[in-house]
Amino acid sequence: MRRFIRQIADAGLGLGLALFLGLAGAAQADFHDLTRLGGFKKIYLLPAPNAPEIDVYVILPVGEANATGPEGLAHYLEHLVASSADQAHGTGLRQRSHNAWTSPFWTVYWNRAPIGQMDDMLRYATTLFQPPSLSDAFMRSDRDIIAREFDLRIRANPSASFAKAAYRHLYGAHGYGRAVIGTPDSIARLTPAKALAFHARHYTPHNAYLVIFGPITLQQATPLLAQHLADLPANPSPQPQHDQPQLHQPLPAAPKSGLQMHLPTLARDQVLILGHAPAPPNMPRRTLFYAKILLESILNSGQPGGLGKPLYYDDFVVSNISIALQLLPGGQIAFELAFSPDAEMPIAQATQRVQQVMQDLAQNGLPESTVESQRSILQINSRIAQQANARYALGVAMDSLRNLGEALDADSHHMALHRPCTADLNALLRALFTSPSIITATATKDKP
Amino acid sequence: MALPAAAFDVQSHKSPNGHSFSLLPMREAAQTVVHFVWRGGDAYLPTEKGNLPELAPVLLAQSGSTDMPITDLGTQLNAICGGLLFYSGTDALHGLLIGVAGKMVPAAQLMNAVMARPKFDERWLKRLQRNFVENVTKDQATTGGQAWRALREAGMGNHPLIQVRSKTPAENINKITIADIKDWHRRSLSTGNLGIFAAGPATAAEIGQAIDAALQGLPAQNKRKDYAPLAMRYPGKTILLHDPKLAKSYILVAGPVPKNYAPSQEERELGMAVLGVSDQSRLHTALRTELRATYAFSAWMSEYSRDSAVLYFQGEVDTAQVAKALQTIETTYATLRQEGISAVEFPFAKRLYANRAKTMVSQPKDAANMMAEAWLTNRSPVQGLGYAQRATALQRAAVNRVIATQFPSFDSMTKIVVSPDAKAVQADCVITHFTQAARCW
Repeated sequence: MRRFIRQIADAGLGLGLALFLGLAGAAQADFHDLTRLGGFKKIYLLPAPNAPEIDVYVILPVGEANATGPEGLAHYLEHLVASSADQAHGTGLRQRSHNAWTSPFWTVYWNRAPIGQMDDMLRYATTLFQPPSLSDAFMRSDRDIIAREFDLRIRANPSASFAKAAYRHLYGAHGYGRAVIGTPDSIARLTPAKALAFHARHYTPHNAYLVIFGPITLQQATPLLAQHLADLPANPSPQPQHDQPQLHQPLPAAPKSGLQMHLPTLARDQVLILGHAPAPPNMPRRTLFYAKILLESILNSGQPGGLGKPLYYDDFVVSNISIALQLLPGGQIAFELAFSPDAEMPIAQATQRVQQVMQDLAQNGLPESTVESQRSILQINSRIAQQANARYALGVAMDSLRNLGEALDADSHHMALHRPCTADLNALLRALFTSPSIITATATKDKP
Repeated sequence: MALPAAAFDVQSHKSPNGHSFSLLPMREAAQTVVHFVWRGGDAYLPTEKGNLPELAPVLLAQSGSTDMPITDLGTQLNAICGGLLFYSGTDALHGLLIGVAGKMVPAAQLMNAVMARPKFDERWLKRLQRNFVENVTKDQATTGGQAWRALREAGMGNHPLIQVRSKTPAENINKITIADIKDWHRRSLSTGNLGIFAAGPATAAEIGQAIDAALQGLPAQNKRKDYAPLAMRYPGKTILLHDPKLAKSYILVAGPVPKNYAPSQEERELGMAVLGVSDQSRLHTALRTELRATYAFSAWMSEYSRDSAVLYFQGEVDTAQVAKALQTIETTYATLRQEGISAVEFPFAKRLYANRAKTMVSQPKDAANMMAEAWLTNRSPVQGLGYAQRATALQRAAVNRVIATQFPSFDSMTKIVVSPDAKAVQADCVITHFTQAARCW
């Protein structure tokens, strides 16, 4: 299960380990668009001869935000589908590693194995689109496993409960406000029938993406894909609307009041400022995506224009601060700003200071020198990562796929970092920080 | 994935100022890591200041240097794709310099600014202390945090490492002063009693210059002091820590294994992996897939000190099934010890393990760390880096022999159950707070 946007985290704005890269060894992954083979919405192959094994990802643009009824449905279905598809190899031990995860907007299924297991992995990938074949007893008992997962991640974790409540406060009954893992009550109300209905409605390969990465060549992959893609439905039922009723409904107006919670088990007071806004007009999606990357990196830096400089480094207003930006499937942009007040700083005062810094940034914009400095850092890092880490190319492909609907190769990504100008970043910044759809949620250890 | 061709091509060099260092050339890596190791523990500290070694390195990096504001230092480092990291082990202080070829010296100069002219700002100390205390308090409230503290209370006696590991009472962290930090700094960072291990594409000449730049102006000797050996003990009992206010239950089972890097380390690690690493491991399968009592249950090995390694299994468990889960753990573990890894399991488990080992050896940071660890445990750098080769060469019969003879019996291990249910399990000893565990002998 993944959060909407990353969890509240310590800022770690000090001398960081800017680059601990992954695999060394000859590096650059190749990049092939094999969508012409059919079956999936997009198919990408990234051969990487030095990777130890092959990764196969199936990415569905379906998540909890598409669901109605008891919360946690998309995640529950993911459990069932993964268990069912995991029998693709037959009985006994499988010779691949396997996992799956769900977010508000996506469900991803992953397998990893040597090339000898490609048949099994592709069989798994196509089996995902068949209704789960599991006993009713097993499917019902999987709710207990999810209840244990809830215990692990959420129960006795006040920060997680706080974040859930804050998102619900901002988005209300809209799909974006639903909790991916659900609640103990909602988990108990999930049924195999509901899960199967959700599967029938949303799990179609023609909306899904297939990404293959690792020590496999185009010549090896093509016949295997052609063979297994033939197992996918040839004439799918009418492609489901990508949840127009749910996901693309207009976002509700933010409530006028903020949210205050008293959570005595919190280690320290926490604040979340959440907001969403329409994208700046006439900004192409790709420009918007790269503006988001640059802006987020600047705001999280200790440079002039970064939130950390005045608030964390100079004036000790906050003991940690971080911001995450996101492009939403409905075309809007969103942000999550998380911080805790520093010692001796009352939470109200810290919040006021943070809000003032946000307003100042929106009004004054980012220093040109910071934009160019941070752009340069990102580009240098991108080239270094590209040189020595084939998985970097995979990361670029997956991120661009989820945000742009198509995967980019690492070179295109590097060049695209040039794309947004300072005016673009400032337009995005203004749109976000002056949006009327912002809420402030505070959670305190002590009763206010 | 082939093993790095230069796995054994460890070179010995001297910097222009005469500092010896080992270098593993890794020409296709993006960065070079220089790992400095100042040998010795922090046993000179009174027990109540035992958490200073964890705090001080963070303060060293975070509050930066008197030469420039920390934000400038961070920006300069980022601009040359450099990085710094300091952390403490029980027998050494570690410092990492990360950089790219051609920029090692400027990165090292920034490291020297921090090491030779640290700022040690009082406001930063207070901030870090507060964060530290809050994190400890949070951890102490979790079922896992309580289980581990109970284990240490039961087995560590009055050894000073108990404060280091358990960090309780957390209020002791607030007793650390800037004067203490400065004393730690004077004792620790030196040009002597120092091992230096580098891995990456930078040349020996450039690395040598960087080393000299990093160590410029540091005193010749350090005054670190090793802790007394720790003889960790494990009551072979089931201890129930009962607290009705808890929301969930936790099981921790732990017992001694030969110290890390003793012969057959890789055999032990593979046995541990089959037991509890991956979703096809024995414990995960038994407790989640079959019993449906947990979301995740795992096994791992770690160490309290160089002399004292531990094998453990742990995880949250449905309160209503704690007793059954503990029985299942016992049966699953006993079966592994008696019968070993099957011919069907072994290839998959070995492949995962060997891949992980090869990946580690191919990364400059891990490669440098392996050489540093080898030095600290009186092995050669080549022996340290031979990890991947040894993992690839594992044989099932040898692994099973090690499991049978070196994994402790379940009866001799300490079983700790933390639960809101007073009847969760038939216990040999029931306590209500982890500090009481010492009486469970």
